Amino acid sequence: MPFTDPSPLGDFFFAFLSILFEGAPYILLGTIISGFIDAYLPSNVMDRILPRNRYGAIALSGLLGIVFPVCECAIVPVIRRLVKKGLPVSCAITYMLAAPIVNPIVALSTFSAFAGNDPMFMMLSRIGIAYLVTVFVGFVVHQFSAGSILREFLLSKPDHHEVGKEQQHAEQDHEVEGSTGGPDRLVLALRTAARDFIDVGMYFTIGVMITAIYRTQFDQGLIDRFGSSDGMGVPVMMGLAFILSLCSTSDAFIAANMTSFSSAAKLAFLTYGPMMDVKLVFMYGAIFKPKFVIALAVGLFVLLGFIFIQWGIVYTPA
Amino acid sequence: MSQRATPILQAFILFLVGSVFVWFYTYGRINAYLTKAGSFQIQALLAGVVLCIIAVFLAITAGQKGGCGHDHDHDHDHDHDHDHDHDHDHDHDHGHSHDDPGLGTMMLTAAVVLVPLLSAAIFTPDAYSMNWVEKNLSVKGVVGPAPEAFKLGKKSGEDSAREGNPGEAGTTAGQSKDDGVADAAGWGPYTIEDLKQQVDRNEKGEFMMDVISLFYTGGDEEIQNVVKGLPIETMGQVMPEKMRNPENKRVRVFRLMMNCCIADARPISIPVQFDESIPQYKEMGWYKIRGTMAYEKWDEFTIPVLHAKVMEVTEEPPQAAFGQRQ
Repeated sequence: MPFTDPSPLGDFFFAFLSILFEGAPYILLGTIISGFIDAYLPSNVMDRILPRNRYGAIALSGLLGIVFPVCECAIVPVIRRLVKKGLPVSCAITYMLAAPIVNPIVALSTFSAFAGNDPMFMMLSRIGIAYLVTVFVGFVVHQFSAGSILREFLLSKPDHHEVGKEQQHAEQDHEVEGSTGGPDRLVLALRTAARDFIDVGMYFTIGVMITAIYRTQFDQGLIDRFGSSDGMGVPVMMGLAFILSLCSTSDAFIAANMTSFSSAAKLAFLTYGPMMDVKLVFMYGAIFKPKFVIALAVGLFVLLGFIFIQWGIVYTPA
Repeated sequence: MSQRATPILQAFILFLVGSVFVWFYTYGRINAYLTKAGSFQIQALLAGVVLCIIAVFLAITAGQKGGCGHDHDHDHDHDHDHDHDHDHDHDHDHGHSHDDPGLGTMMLTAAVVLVPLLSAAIFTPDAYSMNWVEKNLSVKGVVGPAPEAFKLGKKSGEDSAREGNPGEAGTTAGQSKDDGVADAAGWGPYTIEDLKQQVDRNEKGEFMMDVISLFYTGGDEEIQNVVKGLPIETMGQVMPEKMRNPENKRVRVFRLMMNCCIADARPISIPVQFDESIPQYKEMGWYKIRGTMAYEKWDEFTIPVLHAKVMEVTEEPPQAAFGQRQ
């Protein structure tokens, strides 16, 4: 039974809890995966899996979501751990940005949401543009040193070497693999998972609070006024996606009903949101330096904004 | 922070978080937050249970050595003859981090996670206020297609042909030059027979239609021409009408429409017109309303208006926050 009567504060609590209930299971899944990666995955395994050519590795990373589909909440702890395990930063960021969109679950939900409204076009456009943009971002990130991107505690590990330099420290693994039994590994995995869940959960909570404040204390209908042109509609929808912090598996259902906006603006919403939103800014803060998070947010906004405004000019779906 | 204290504190945090999830699911309160469609509710329950299990596991194993399950005091008797040049830090990481925060950081993290969560869990009203509903109300008419779950429309040609008599009942509109071809293919215009196939009727013969379905009829002239004047029973929460209500004979009935969680919900509403004065009602209360459907032009929009004969208190439906076809 509820304990209080509805009120503006109650509205905030109501929305806050619902977003938390929706998102936390995915964070938990991500952190459990992260814990097991920590305990069981040898440090250099990512180097072995990915192509030695860095650009090829980045291009492949953008497609990993097809095999390992994870949403944007789950991917942050996974990425954090994979980076520690030696996944090159450029590949990690490409996978992190692409996987919440370039995966079969999101493809299906996008297709379903736009049923009767050019679903194949919307689905393929969303996935295709997201893939190209994230690979481009990976190429750009590759030009910078890990030190200018990652937080200090991630840099202090010796397994941050670029593919090709191969300072693998393969010898590090022999103790981990050989010295301990299953129960010890399990303890390690679950302790890591717990620490990551609490750590990432803190940033997630802050992001969800901001989102819940926006959703309950501001007039949502104001947004519709900007739908008349792509010049305004695209950036407004991207801004909305940033604030609403929707899950990529369900955001298409919201976008499909925003009938004031063009398909270009909806695609901007569906592409920018899973890559960057309020809660992700805080969650990314658990891995990346604040300057990089800001640069990524602004860079993606400008790049996707430009693409979709042009897209709206040259293409109008049937 | 002592080796034992870290996992104990982590276990404590996880257990509290997990308990909130299990609590809301067990007592059915989760229905107000997450849609039953899909697996969102089950995911929340599973998350809660798994968090509690991990918490218990961490507490039981809190005394285990090293916090990582293996010994760091090993000998480096392997060969360092690889041919690259970098510093060898023999305090290095074995594939996991030893970046456990201090007690202060842990307490701060715990506070950021737990204070909002527990405050919300204790003080949430499990419903939105009227203030929120008014702010988010769909005051305009329909500007797009109805969501699939609330869509009324012609069935497929095959189904229609099987049911026979397309175009029967003389309640059609929107005839076009292609209608002959469409009829021959079983794709005739929407008819009362189609509505009967799609919507249940009560013992009085009134069509039991959800507020959301009624709202979306405003976007389809063909369906309007079938529904207009029909006896309707609907159900929803009632609030004062603040638009185009000079005689104060109107209220507004709404249902929330959510996709996944209540944070993405929108109140979908229609005006309800009474011939005489509005009967006594409780704002935001649940009511069953019976009457006949009419349509009005509000600027460029067609607004469905229910001309009510009876408005009676009803029970809040089990999935109140999730409008669904009755």
